[in-house]
Amino acid sequence: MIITVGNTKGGVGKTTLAVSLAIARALSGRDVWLIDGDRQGTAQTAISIRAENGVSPGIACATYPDGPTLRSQVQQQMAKFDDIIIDAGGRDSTALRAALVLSDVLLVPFAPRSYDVWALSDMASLVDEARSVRDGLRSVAVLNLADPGGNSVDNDEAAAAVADVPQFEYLATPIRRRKAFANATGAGLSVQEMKPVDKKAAAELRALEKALF
Amino acid sequence: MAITKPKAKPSQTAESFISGAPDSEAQPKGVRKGNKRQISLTITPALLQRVDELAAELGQSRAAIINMAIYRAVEHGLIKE
Repeated sequence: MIITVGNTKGGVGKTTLAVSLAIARALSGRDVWLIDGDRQGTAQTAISIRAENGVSPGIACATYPDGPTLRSQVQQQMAKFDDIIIDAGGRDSTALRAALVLSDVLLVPFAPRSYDVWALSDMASLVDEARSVRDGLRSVAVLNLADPGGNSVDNDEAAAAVADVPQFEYLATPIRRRKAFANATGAGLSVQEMKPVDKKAAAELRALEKALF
Repeated sequence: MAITKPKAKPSQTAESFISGAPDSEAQPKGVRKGNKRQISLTITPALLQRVDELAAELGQSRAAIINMAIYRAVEHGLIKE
């Protein structure tokens, strides 16, 4: 399955989620290919750190910030992998658009903040455009950097706001703002691997993985 | 008889969708104005005066004259043979 983690708004945790999901899938025994579609190359750097530290399983990772290249490479190599996770940069780009043409699922992370909710409609119009050139793109929005604790009003309101954007299906598996995510992915690890394990973070990631795949 | 919805014709291809992104090199320059692009042009007052006189003579707009002149230059070369 090909999943794109994308949002034209930056700073919503796309790379953190993409790296986490790729490693989570690899830990589940899948052959994973992580594609960094962002010129910043943060995902690629994180995976390099993982490789330098000799962490197993290793993750195949490639950087294609150019849309047409990303498309042709993925089309050529996709049969070799069980899952392909594409981290598209935080703006409208050829890489993001190429990813939208290829993907089975678009995962749009957003934080429970007004600016993030407003940006959903920009992403929605891009989804509409992508759907005009292809069929069967499932697009889901998930809360990322959500407030910790089960009864946050902001989390609930942000989740409810997704209903105003019919292009997205809301996934009720929020990822909360936990240091574990930032620290683990900074070291090229998933929260499941980072010792000591943040059990809540690991459970959130597992729930998201289950909802997606 | 069930009613089937007509399938929307794809208004663009995957290629044109991808190359439509802001970071694409294929993007034409200038500011979009309808089907055209707005560019800025600096010109000497004397030449502008002559452009405007020619425009008045032909009953055309200034932009039309400039466009026609550019078209001739691009199509037939800038230097007379």
